[in-house]
Amino acid sequence: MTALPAPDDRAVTDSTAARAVAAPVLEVRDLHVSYGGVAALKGVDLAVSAGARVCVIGANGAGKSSLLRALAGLEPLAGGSICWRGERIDHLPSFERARRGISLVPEGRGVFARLTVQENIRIGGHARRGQSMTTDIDRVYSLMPRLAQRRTQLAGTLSGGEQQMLAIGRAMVAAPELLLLDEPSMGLAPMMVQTIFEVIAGIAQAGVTILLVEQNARLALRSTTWAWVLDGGRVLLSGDSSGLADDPRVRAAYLGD
Amino acid sequence: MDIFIQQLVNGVVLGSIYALVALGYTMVYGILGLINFAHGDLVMVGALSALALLKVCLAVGLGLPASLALATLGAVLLCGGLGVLIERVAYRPLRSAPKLAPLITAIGVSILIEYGAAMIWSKQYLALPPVIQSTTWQLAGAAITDLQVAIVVMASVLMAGLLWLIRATPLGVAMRATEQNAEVAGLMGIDTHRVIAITFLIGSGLAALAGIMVLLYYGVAHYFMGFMLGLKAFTAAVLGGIGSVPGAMLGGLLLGLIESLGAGYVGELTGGVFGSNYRDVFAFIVLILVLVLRPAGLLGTASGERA
Ligand SMILES: Nc1ncnc2c1ncn2[C@@H]1O[C@H](COP(=O)(O)OP(=O)(O)OP(=O)(O)O)[C@@H](O)[C@H]1O
Ligand SMILES: [Mg+2]
Repeated sequence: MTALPAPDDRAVTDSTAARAVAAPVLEVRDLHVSYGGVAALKGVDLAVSAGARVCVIGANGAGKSSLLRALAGLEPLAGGSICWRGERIDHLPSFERARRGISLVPEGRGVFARLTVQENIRIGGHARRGQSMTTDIDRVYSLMPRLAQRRTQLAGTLSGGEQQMLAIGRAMVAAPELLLLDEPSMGLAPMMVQTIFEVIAGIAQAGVTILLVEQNARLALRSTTWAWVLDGGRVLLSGDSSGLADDPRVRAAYLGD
Repeated sequence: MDIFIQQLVNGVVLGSIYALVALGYTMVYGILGLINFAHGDLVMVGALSALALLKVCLAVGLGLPASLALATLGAVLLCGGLGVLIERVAYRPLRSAPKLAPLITAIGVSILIEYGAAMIWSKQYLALPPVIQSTTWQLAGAAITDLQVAIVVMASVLMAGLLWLIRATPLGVAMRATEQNAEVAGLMGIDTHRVIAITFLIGSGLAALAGIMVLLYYGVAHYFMGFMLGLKAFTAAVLGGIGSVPGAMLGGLLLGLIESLGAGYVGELTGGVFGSNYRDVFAFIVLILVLVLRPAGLLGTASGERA
């Protein structure tokens, strides 16, 4: 009902339909999100194939977090649709989407400060309905030994980097098929960013589809194969990540060249 | 000395009951930030429905233990269901409304339950049939009945069970996660509406059990009994630090002791000007003192929003 008319500049993206490969597992069409009448997303289309590594870059306020929150079920849609493995999921609450394999590591991490590290990690298992999660928990601790050393510590007392590890570890225990990451590098020192991105690469290697949102465009384009550039709630450009990294417009606006 | 020990015993019994009711306030406050004013009335529904069921069971010739068990089961189920229904109908639709809206709704629900109960059970004081013969023991100069012991033991077991549930089970972790950040809990696959409903179920079931204890202990029940009891249990929750489960237990016990000892000595201290009929005053003196001196309560977190 409130769907805005398709803006002209969408033609750029429509033709490529921003698809990484055929047979997408995630298909977003004409997505609109608004906050009290102010539009944050004004008709976004994207399609992601199984096992792909893709990213969305854009300036502050471009609508990146709004997009991920809408996918995870935290924001109601003002228009458009979201299909996940052929099923419309846009009316499902967030916990149902989590149980269908969609995991969001939110902006600001969202660890449960007054739960222990161990409790935070085990809570990821609520999304998987019964199957044993011990192997995944072991994998989290072996990938991130700093968490293993701090099992009984309250999560609120962890450093920012450790909290980001915890948020990702918690998502791993949910055994997602689609991992949505909202600025995992935010506020972290270069060493920690490297560690975090190694963990993410490991998750991707296990076949998990990754949709990454990053302020750090260079890092995002380097870690993915396909990218969308979001601007003012619309897709401005899309293409394979290495191509976009060479695109003069992207270099000027987002890579600071 | 005798009075002291006697009032100590009475205070522990009373405090156990307050603690059970205070838990319902504190758990709902912790998870929703809502003071559920209707909670005290569930204690009343528990007492009156258990009394009605007990009479029916006895009338059809069931023995006392079986009748008590059935009445307890029935009252707990009824109150648990009522608590869940109240949450679903009166509070859930207001989840994202300003905090004042559910608070006013809670007062409305409380009045609704009270007058609903008056219509069903009348406004009379209803007496427990004289079926319970309690044995009295002498201990260090004080009289203790087996009923008092049973109440304290029962309340302790329930509270230990609740602590275990919250600390050690996946449901308990889900409850604490929902309390800390409901949005992220949803991202973890936790059905937060269900967790909140279970919280109401547990709180209301405990309220029913407290109501049955009051019925057995004092021998009467009344459609308005939940009002004062609810206020005192709320005071106990604030004293312990509202939102804190161990705090509600501690606050309940302390309030019971303060009230009993206060009632035991008020006549002596005021030269007979005030008698033990002023006992209700103590709870509210405590409430005011806590709010002024230590608004976060004894075990509460010191964040400004609490209390
Ligand atoms: N809860 C909200 N209420 C009102 N407006 C909001 C809300 N959340 C986001 N917005 C607005 O929507 C727009 C998009 O915000 P969003 O958080 O999606 O941007 P972003 O691309 O993630 O930015 P950043 O890089 O700074 O995280 C912004 O203009 C923002 O002010
Ligand atoms: Mg953002």
